Amino acid sequence: MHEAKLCLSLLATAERALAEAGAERIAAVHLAVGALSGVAPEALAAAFPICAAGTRADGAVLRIERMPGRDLVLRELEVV
Amino acid sequence: MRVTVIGVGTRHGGDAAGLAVVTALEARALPRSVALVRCERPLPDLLEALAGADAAIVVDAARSDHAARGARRVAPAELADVATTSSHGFGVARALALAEALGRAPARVELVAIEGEGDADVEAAARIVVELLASLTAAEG
Repeated sequence: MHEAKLCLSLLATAERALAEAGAERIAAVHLAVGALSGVAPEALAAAFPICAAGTRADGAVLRIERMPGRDLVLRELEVV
Repeated sequence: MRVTVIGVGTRHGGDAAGLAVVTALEARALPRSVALVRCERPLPDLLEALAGADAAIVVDAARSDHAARGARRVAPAELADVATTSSHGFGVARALALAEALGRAPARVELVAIEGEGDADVEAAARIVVELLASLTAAEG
């Protein structure tokens, strides 16, 4: 369930970055998920398009990279 | 069966009817297995309330093309039409979709839309909820 909250938080961060960059929309989000982070990449992938619908990340691609450790890292945002 | 009745609305936003229905239901004798929840944010509050229930009845204020005031049941497929004119109808639809996507949706979800904010509208919605609770209990046998 916390994957949905995580998506909302991620999108809020992305919206702020979008405003700072002066861009129009988010095209892609690249996230690295630690194996011990407690986040299920599949659930994150399922929740993301639903959370993004109607926002400026609507239709954005979510790329998830699995990595060791407990961290969750927002590697890159592609904006257009 | 744990049945959660969820009133969706905002206390200060002029669309508190869903919350008022919960208040109306608190004054009634309901089965112990029924939980009443007020939800001011479809995400993530409604999603969390849905995730813990076997069955859920979601009550939300809605404005649609139906001229009649009062309350009525809404089919999930109809929610998209309601959502076009209700600010958080979209949020309710999204919370339901997320619960489905995350495999945490209740086995049964009923939606009740209130089209009006008067006492009679709230009472009409509360009656529908009570009828739904009776049918859910009967179905459980």
